[in-house]
Amino acid sequence: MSLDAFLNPEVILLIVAGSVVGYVFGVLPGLDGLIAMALFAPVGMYLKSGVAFYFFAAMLGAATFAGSVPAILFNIPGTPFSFVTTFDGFEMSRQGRAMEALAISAVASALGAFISVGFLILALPVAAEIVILFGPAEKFWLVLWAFVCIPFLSGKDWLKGLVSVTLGLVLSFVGRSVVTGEFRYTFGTNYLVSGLGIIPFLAIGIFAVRVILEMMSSPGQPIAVGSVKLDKSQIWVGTSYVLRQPLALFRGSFIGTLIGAIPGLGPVTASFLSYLAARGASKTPEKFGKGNPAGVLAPESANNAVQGGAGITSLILGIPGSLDWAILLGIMVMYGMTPGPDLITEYPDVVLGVIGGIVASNAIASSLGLVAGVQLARLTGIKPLYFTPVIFVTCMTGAYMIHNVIWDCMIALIGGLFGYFIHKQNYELLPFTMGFILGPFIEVNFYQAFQVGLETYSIFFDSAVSIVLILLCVAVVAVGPWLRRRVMREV
Amino acid sequence: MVEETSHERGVVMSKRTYLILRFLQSLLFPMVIVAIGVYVFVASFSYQFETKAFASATGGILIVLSVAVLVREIVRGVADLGSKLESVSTQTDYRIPPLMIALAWCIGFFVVALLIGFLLAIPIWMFAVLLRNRASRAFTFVMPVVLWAIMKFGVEYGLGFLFFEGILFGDKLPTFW
Repeated sequence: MSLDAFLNPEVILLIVAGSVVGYVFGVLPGLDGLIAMALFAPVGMYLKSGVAFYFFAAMLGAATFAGSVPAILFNIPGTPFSFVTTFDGFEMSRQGRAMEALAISAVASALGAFISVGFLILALPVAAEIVILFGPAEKFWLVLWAFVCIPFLSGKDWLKGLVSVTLGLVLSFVGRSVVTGEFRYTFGTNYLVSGLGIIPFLAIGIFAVRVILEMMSSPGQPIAVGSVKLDKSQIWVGTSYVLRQPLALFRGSFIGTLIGAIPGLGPVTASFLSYLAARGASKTPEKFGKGNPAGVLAPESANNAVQGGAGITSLILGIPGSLDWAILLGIMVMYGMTPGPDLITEYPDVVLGVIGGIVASNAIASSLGLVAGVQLARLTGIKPLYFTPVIFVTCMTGAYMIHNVIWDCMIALIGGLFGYFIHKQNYELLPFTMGFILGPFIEVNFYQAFQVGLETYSIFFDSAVSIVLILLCVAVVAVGPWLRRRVMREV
Repeated sequence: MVEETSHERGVVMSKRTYLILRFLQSLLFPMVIVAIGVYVFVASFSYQFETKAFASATGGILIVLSVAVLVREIVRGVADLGSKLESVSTQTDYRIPPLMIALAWCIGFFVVALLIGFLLAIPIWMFAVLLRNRASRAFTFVMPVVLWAIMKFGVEYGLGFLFFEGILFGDKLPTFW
């Protein structure tokens, strides 16, 4: 992998564009980097794969930090990941230390992301060693483990989580069978021969159109954004605070990376756990929640570090660690790539693009947050009425642009309605997405294992890796809900 | 965005009817999932073994899980109905969900785009939505034009992309069936 790619003007432009788009979507209420990726996925198809992923990864990187700016200034988390930051960040803001909190958030976010990407880069060479341990049967169990992790570790309702992942699986069966090439569940239509489509149905429909429907049907009141006075001299106070706390920074980043690497847990869990760990390690835990800088550093370093952690499972194993990565892997599928162990050797430029995009966008977003954070945070106060129709039209145009087929718009609308009910009735979107994207992968590996095992099922229990993965599945099912309840009680 | 609209057009109903409708509505989606599971399971029998085995097993699992959710929802719903009836204020207006209106706007765009094409549908639909929801006058008039210009010059000329021109203007629908 060459670093010369970063000097390509097209790459620089795409990283900056992706960072700005991600930042704006991160600040706008109800939107996030995920929706930005979904909306821009069809446009991205006009870019070469070697450069496109700088753009998408930049959106992912910038949106996470962007959500923290309104969280600190106005007590309004731009994204759910920034919720924990409000505990101490907004308190600091009320005490006239808004710029200090912003600086802590910006520096901790950027450094947290850099550290986690460091872990990711260190993990990549190990990938080759890991890959040879995984035959079709092990891959089958690995995906199954990911499928049980989400409902049992992070879901509010494990039964609905399991329904969601199974529903995603069955909808991925629509179209040509990945095993035999026979058409399934197409209702005799030509349109459904190629399946429901990751971009029109899942990315645009389930994620973007769903949000539009939610915003249009329960608009709420425009968010009142107050005025905030900023003292620029506090930038150095905040920056130096982070630099003087390397252990705290590393702890937050490590927790974020670790949590990110477990499918389904995500940045919200990481920021909560990091906050709890910081409070537990502090000599003055009573100061947490009252404007303690450590209470900003901990969640901010962790929620951004999740990207690198999720990258480890996503890039090395092809199992999306979070929703953002699920969509990113979905876009890779659209480019004809197969997410998984071979990605690194077959598409090193794409892997470099993803890593480069995350690193650069975090630096850009953090700088942007310090320079123009207050001005950009005012976007939070824009009435959804002014941007939802624009986003809807962009969704429809994007859906149409993929194959120049107007029925894709209809599928996006159906996906939106479907996603609305999945979300509204607490079935959860991550398990559904995981099932939908990994459906063909698990089915192919099931059959390959079945054939390798001469049409017997014993091969599924032959290797040590399979046994470990089966035990992990059992462990997650047995202790997952209890573990989750315990962590939530602590918070 | 369309909350006010829904209030203007909403249908007032009795508290009991409202709660029963809400209860039935909450069962609708679980029932749709059960139906999907049944369809996947039953339809799989017409395929060859390698095509159907994994799909029918997954469909079967979906049926079991979704029926479990449905039964749980029914039990909980029936148990909650009485207590909710007591707690719901008599002053509340019971309205049809505004989702229907939001969905109608979205489907409206699709139908208009199908009839007269994207480039005409975009400004017309935008203008109608903004006007209906009382956006500022400047935004209502300027934004549709700006968006049309972006699509026309940025996407059509810039990316060399051809938009669907609408069946009323002679563009052919791609085959669906």
